[in-house]
Parts: sequence; structure tokens; C-alpha cells
Amino acid sequence: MRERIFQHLAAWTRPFRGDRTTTVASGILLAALLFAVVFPACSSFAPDATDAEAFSPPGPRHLLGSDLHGRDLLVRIAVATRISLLVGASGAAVSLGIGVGWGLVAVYFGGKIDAWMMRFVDLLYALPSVVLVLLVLNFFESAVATRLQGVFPDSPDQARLFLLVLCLGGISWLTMARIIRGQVLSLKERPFILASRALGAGAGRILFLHLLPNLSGIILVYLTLTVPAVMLQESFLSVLGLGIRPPQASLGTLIADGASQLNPVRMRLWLLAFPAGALAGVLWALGRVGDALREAFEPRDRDV
Amino acid sequence: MNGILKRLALVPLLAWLVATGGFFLLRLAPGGPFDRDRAPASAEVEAALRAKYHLDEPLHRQYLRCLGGWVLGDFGPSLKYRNHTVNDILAQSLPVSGVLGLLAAGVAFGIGIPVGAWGALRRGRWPDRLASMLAVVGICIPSFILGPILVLVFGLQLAWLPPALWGSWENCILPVLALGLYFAARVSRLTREGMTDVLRSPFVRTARAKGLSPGAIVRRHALRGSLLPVAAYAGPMLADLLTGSFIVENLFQIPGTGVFFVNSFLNRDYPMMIALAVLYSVLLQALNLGSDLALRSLDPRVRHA
Amino acid sequence: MSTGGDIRETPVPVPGVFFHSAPAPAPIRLFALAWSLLLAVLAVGCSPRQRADLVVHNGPEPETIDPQVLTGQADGRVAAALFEGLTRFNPVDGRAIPGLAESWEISPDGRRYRFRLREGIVWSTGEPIRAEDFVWSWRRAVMPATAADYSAQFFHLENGEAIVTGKEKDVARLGVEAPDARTVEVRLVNPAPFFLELAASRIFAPIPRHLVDRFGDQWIRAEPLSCSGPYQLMQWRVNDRFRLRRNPRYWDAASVGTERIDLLSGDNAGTALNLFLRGDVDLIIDRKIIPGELGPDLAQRPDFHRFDFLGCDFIRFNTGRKPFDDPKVRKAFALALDRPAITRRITRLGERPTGAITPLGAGGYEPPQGMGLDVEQARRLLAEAGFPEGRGFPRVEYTYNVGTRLYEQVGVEIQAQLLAHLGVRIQLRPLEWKTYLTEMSRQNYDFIRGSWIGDYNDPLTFLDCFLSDSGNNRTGWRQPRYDALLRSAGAAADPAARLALLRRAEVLLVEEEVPVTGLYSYVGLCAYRTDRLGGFHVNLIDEHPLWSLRRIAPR
Repeated sequence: MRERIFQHLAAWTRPFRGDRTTTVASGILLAALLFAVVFPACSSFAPDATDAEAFSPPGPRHLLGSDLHGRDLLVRIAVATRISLLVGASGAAVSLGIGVGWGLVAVYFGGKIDAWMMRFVDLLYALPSVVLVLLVLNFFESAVATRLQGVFPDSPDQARLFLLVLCLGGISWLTMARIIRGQVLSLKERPFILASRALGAGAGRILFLHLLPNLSGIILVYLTLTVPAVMLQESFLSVLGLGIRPPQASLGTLIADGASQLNPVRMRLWLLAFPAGALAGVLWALGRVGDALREAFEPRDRDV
Repeated sequence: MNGILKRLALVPLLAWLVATGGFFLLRLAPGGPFDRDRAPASAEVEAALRAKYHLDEPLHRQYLRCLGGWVLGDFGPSLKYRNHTVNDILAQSLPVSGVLGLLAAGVAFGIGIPVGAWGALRRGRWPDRLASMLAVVGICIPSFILGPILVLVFGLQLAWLPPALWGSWENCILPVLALGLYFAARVSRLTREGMTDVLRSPFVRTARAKGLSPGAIVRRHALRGSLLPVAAYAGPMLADLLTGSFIVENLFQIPGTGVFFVNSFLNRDYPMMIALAVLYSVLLQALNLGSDLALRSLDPRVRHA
Repeated sequence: MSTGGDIRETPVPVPGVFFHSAPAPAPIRLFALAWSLLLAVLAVGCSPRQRADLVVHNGPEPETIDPQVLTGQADGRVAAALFEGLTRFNPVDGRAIPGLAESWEISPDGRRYRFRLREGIVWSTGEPIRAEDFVWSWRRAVMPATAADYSAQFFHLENGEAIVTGKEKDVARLGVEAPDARTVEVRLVNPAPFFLELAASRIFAPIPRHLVDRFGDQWIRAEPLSCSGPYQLMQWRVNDRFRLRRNPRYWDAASVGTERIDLLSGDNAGTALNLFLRGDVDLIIDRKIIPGELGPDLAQRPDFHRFDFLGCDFIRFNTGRKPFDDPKVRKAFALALDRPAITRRITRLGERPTGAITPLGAGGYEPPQGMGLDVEQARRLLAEAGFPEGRGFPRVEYTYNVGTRLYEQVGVEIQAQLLAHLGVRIQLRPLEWKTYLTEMSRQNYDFIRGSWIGDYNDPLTFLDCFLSDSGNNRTGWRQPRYDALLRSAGAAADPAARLALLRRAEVLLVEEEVPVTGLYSYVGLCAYRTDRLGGFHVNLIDEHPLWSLRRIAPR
């Protein structure tokens, strides 16, 4: 029994050990996760603790420097990574769940169902997302805040984050649905699908056993495009006053704040470089690991 | 052909749904177009202002009034820019955003597709690694970072190009790059994926076995099939590009349509918001139709496009 | 396309995809077509534009430039270039000097003004400007149907308030008359010492009746537009620019310093700065269009100019809701704020920290101190209110609008200060502008950021807001004693006695009852090179007439 578990474990971790880059990438992801979850608790600075000395450059006291309020950037990045990962993961989850499902179902049934499902996607595209976010926040924020306060009495700021994650997920799946549909349109006419249909396989079997594995590549790639897009959308909403509440921050809001450092008069570049570096590192690692996963699990000879 | 006609027939229907949905949803948002930080001179003045734009009528009357305008393609006066109609503003700004968007799309495809294809052909080797790295950088450097960097370097430091404003061809270059490179990164990822997919299929293997050069394989056979993901993505991407980008237009002070997508909402400029949603919807449907047709022409097996 | 046949073909070895002898694949052909189309569009559509003699960055795109209905500062700057009133602003100190009126007499009780118009003044299209035009324009401005948000400026005229609020239907009863074609007579309710400055503001400018009769509300879009001011409108492109040209028929055309001016519209401060540093913009006139974070660095430069002006940031407490219904809690909060720390660490432009509402220098008025930092007193008051050491203090939110990052930064600072000084942890609640306004009007907040910019150089423009029935009050605070003080100040004929009464009212407002507490009064920055641009001056009311500007060194 134990042996089998090890075997499974070995099989599952193989892609992560495959080559050096992938190992590094998975290491980065793991470290980022640990950093985001554990570091804020053991840092000597609280993420919202202000200090008399503003804009300290990176140095022994503040490893990555500090901002206008004298807040330590390192610990702020840790907290921000947590929120960004949460936002990105939710966007990815919804894209994966609704987006992929929508595209698969639409094209598999084809005809009228396909047409209407895709027109529905077109409709959602055109409805301005900022309006939806504003309305959701306006109508539900205080109610959710009251509920959440019962659950987490110490952190009353979570209502907006929760709703935001919900909304961002809700608008992140549309392009995924289109892309999956386009790909399935081509796949479903290929010999191996035709064959399995001829053999009398049911819709579910064809969708999930035959089509889905062949889509893993494009799904993973588009996920690696969705995650940063969702994270940046979140920062954009924050700039409009519809995002998370300060002093909370996400990598996106830190970068958006840091963007003002790109000016010809005085650049405090650490405020931009470190958050952007953190985001790029995490995204690169995600993409790399996604690639490796897909190499490991994708069926090789599909047309046979 | 029949399918295309059916799709075209749906365009006004969906546009109407978008306009109607927008009309009623917007009214739920707090605040109105004429709210300011200082109170109006009197309640009567405020009432007169609302009456001037028929905002005092019951909602269904307002809706019917707007509907009449929509049918004729008239979206009414802007509630924010009170000396202009919505059509007036769009007529000024759409050509600007259109040129900017087309050029950016050129950059996105012109750079993204070759780079992506190249990466797929050298999959796992250094060109691929480099292309992937650049793509990740491109994806996480949003235009609000890339734009200022370009301006600092080429606009101020080297002073080769104007840092902002619109009017001559020099003005186009920086905003087009700021807008296009982000999409180029995304297009390259999708092309690489599509190309990898195609290169593994049997007909390419056959072609290779026949001794065809890799370049010829790509040009003749692989490129078409590999563009499937890009084609599916092109519809929404072009719709986004052609209607303008808030960030780039704001940054380069370009009189385009993109800024209104955000500002009309912040200003509660209802007619402007509805016009933009309808415009976007019509454009998106047209482009998605085009992108679906492209899917069909790229892959003869696709039937239900 | 069938794939089978193609494989047999031998490839032609030519470099580059585009020169393949066989027809290029469809996508490539498409690209080539698209690119050439685009280049054609560019070549045709983008002809270089000639630079105006003077390029001014005017800030956000104006909502309207109709002098009667506009409200924004950027709107007003355009309108002021096109339309002039009885008086105009002196570019140096912002005081009133003769405009379309060459002289005036004031009655001994300070309530009657008799203006004498210049001889032969005409619109830029040639029609004469007569005294009746003023009467007609002012009557139009106060009609509720015109929907002029700023018509409260006419409350100082006899029957002005009654007409604007709809109690008096006959606009002819407004306190203005034209005994002959060159005389305008104005009757005021109170001896308002600031009336001459008021008369220079946009809404008191006459508008061309012949255009209003033809085009109605949209008369401002008429081409050519009849202008009474130093400039006429040549072109207006939304979010791009206004192009102005000297009005040759302006009575003082000889002192108009520049032939053609471009007023750029845009709201990105960083962009405006880049344009200025590149020399594409000669003057940044809007203080909001200077990047706030760079303020301290920019203020050091010789081409950036700091000035105090009549505006302030303050905090409103919601007196209709616990815990701020208790004046002790409001005072405790006001005393726990370290305002100098905010201006030193956050705003950093040398703003004057003040607990009062009225900025220093408004009409010779000396504002009270207001609340300053006193931690012990604050703690004591909070304990008296039932929250010793902040224990048991309910969850409260500080609401502010986003837009510039400054408000968030001030909020973070306030949050930290209250935690350190009172032991109270407040939450920050950022809202987008319109939601913020709605929540403030509905009094759906605990305490909220407020700001005010003076309309004229007098403390009344600030203190007016907190009258019990003022639409700008928004705190739920109703104090008959305050209303009475302002009323008696209005009636006072002696300027010194008037100011003393106003001061007494402000003490009640910011030291005794504290429904609001000041943070700091504003400092602005504008940008121009003194060796390139002359005739520009900073002043307390932030008025900078374009006619006095002139380029010094030709480029």
C-alpha cells in the first residue's frame, strides 16, 4: 500500500524534477507560497506599520526599502503576493471550470446550442465589467462584511476582497471559452474522436476522456495568460476605488503605485522593481510548471 | 452562407440587449451625472437640469425615448460634456483609436506570430527559452509600465519622439508599441502552442520524412493550423484594440475613444456608456464572426463555424 | 486546402517568407495588405500641426465652456479667455480691475453699484454690447430653467435667492437694471465687500443674445462664436485642445500678449510634466496636473512656482450617527490628529496645517487656530465619552474618494495616528467619486474627507457651507447660533465688525462643536520658465488671465 503511494507520488512529481529549469520554477513557486503565508507572521515589521523615515532605499533595516509611509516593502510584498495569488487562483479556477466547460459543451452539442451559448458570451463581453463590480460592491459589501465579521472577527476588511475575487472570476472566463471552442471545433473532426463516436462512446466519455486531455496544452497556456490579466484587472479596479481596501495591497496595486516612479525627476525604482520582479518571477514559474505538467500528461499520438 | 446571415441578423438583437441591460444596470449605480462636490444653487435648479435631459421622467418613458434614438443611431447628448452629443464625440475620437488599434494589432500579429512560431520550432532550446522569457516579461509588464518606460527613454532621454499628444506619425510610434507589445506577447504564446500542436500531427511528420525543409513545412502546412488559437483570440483582441485603450490614451494624451470607457462610467454619463457598450458589442460580434470564418478557412475540418 | 498535394512540391529555396515564388499563404498576404493599408492611412491622416505661439496645459477636458452653467476651474479658464464681465481680474494679485465697465460708483451703504460701460464695445462678430445685454444675461442666469449650478452667486443681489429658489417667478425683479445703454445698476442685499471680484467671475459675463435666440442652450457651439473677451475660439477637439486666437475687436486688444494659444486638455499629471520638460508645453496652469508625489522635488526647480491659494482639506464627522454624535468623540479625534506631520510627510508642498476651515489671507481675515495635536486632552475626552484607552470603541470607517493617491496616503496617515494616539483602529473606505458624493450627501459615513475651494476672496465662501440648511453642510450639524452669527455678519456695515462676527462663528464651528475639523490649506504649483514666459503671476484665488501672457524669447 505504502509502496503504491510512493509510486503515485513519484509519478506526480516527475514533471517537477524533469529538468533543471522546472525544478527551479517549482522551487520558486513553493518559496513564494511559503513567503506569502509564513513571512508576514515572522517579520519584525507589520505590513501596515508606518515609520517616521520615508522612502528608505534598500538596506540592512528594510531589505527592499520602504515607501512614503515608511512601511517595509518586503513584508508588503509578502502580503500582496498572498492576495494576488488568491485573485489569480480564483480567476484560473473559474476560467478552468466555467470557461473550459462552456467551450466544450457548446461545440460538442453544436448547432443552435453552440450558437446561443457563444452569443451569450458575446453579450457578457460587451457589458462593462466595472459597472458590474460597482453594483456588486454597492449592494452586497456591507451585508457580506457583517457576515464575514461573524466568521473572522479580527479581520473586518475581507468583504471587498471576497466580492472582488468573485467578480474577477466572473469576467475572466469568456476568452477561454472562445479559445477552447475554436480548438475543439478542429479536434472533434479528427479520426480518433470520430472513431470513438463510431464505437458508441457517450458524450461524457468523449468530452472528458478524449477531448479534454488533448486540450490540456492550450488550456494551460491560456491560464498562464489569464492569471496575470486578472491580477492586473484587480489593480485597475483598485485605482478606480473599486478594489481592495488600503492598507491591504496586492502585487498589482504595488506595481500600479510604483508606476509613478517612472518619471524624469526622481525615481525610487525599488518601489516598482521589486513588486514587478515578484510578479514576473511567480508568473514565469507558473508558466514553466504548467509547461512541464502538460509535457507529462499530454497524450502523444493522438491521431493514431 | 446561411449561417453568416443568421449571425448578422443576431447583431442588432444582441446590441439591443446590451443597450437595454446597460440602461437599467447603470441606473442602479449610486450617484448621478450632475452630482458634484458642491450642492447646486437650489433644488429648482437641480430639477431643471434633470428635466432638461429628461431624467425626471419615469424610467420606462426614458427608456422608450432612448430606444427611439438608438434605432436611428442617435445616442443623444453627453451628460458630462454638455456641449457635445455622444455621436459628435465618437465621430472625433473613433478614427484616432481605430488607427492606433490597427497599428497595435499589426505589431501584435507581426511580432507575436513569428516569435511564437520560431519558439515552437526550436521548442525547448535556447530560442524558445528566450522567447518564452520575453513573453512572460511582456505579459507582466502592463502598458502602464511599458508606456512610461518608452516615454522616458525615447521621449525624454534620447528625445527622438514626442512624449505625448496626437497629430503626426511620430506621435503614433510609442503608444502603438506600448499597446501592441503586450498583445504581441500573448499572441506569441498562443501561436507557439498552436504550432507545437500542429508539428506533432502526422501530416507534418510525413512531410518531414519526405525531406521537406522545416521552413517550407511551416510556411505551407503548419502555419495555418497553428493559427487556430490566435484566430479565436483575435476577435476579442481586435475589439479591445480598435475601441481604444484607457491606459495608453490617458498616458499619451490621445483624443481617442478608450478613455471614455472608464470616464463615462465614473461620470455616470449614461448615453455615452450605452453608446460605447453597443459599439463594442457590434464590433465584437463582427470580429468574432470574422474570427470564426478564419477558423474555418484555416482548418478545413472545422465545419460549424 | 488539401494538404496531400502540397507535400510533393519541392520547395524553392529563397530567403524570407515574403518573396516566396508561390503565392504566399493567406495570413501572410493579409498582413502585408493590412500593413500597407495602415501606412496609407497614416500618411494621409496625420499631417503635422503647426505649434501655437503659446501652449498651455489646462487640465481636464471641460464639461462645458458656457460661462453661465460651467463649474470647473478648467472650464472657467477657457470661458474667461472668451467672455469678460463688468470687471476682470488683475493678473498680479487677483483683485478686480475695470473690464467692460470703465468705472463705477458705490453708494455709501455699500449696497448699490452703478457701472459705466466702455464706449463702443462689441462682440467679436461685430454686434454692440449694451447694458441691456448684462441685464438680460443675468436674468437668464438666475432662471431655474437655465439650470446654472453656480447661480447661488446671485444670492447677493436683491431677489436673487428668491428667483433661483423659485419663490419669485418674475426675473425682472432681480436687482439689476439698465437705465441707459451704457449704465448697469446693481442692488445688493448686503454690503458685500467682495462684489467687484464676484462681478469678474464667469457667470456675471454677458452672453450673446443673438446666438442664444438662434441656437438655444447650445449657443456656445455656434460658428463663429461671438466673444467679448480677449480671445475667440477657433477649434475645439474633445480631450485634445482648444485653439484660441486674439480677438481683434476686444476693447483692450493692444495689451493681449499672444496671437494664438493652444489650451491642451488632459488629466494625466505625469504626461503634462513630460510635455513641459520637452518644451512642448510652455505653461502648466492647473495645479492638479502636477504630479503630487514629485511636488517637493519640483518645488526646488526654478521653473516651478509654489503659491498659496484659497482651498482646504478637512474632515466631516457624521453628527447623526454614533459615535460621532458625541462632541467629545469628535473633539478627541480632532485633537489626536498631528496635522504638521501630514503636511510634512504626505503633502510635502509646504501646506499650512490648520484645524480651521478658512485659509489664512481670505479677505484680510485671521482664522482661528482650530484643534491642534493634544494627545492627553484627546484621551481624556475619549475616556469621558465612555471609551478609555479606546476600549469598546465601535468599528468606524474613514471614507475618502480615490482619484489622486494623495487621499489614500492621508487616510493611511490618519489611521496610523489615531491608532498611536487614541488606541482606536479605524478602517479605510475608498470610494469612486460619484459613490463618495452620494454617500456623503446621504450621510452614510462615519467620518469622511472633505474639501472646499473658495469662490471669492472672503471667509464667507467657506463658512456658508455649514449653515443648517446649506446643501454643502452634509454633516447633519444644525446650529441656530451659527446661522445667527453669519446673518448678523452679513448685515454688518463695518468690515472689521463683520470679520469679528465671522471669526466668532468659525470658533464655534471648529473649536467648540467640531462637526468638521481642518487638516491643511492648499498650496498649488504651476510650471513655466521665467525666461520664456512673461505676464504670469501666482495669486491667492488662482486666477491667471491669458491676455497678460507673452513669450519672451522666440524659439
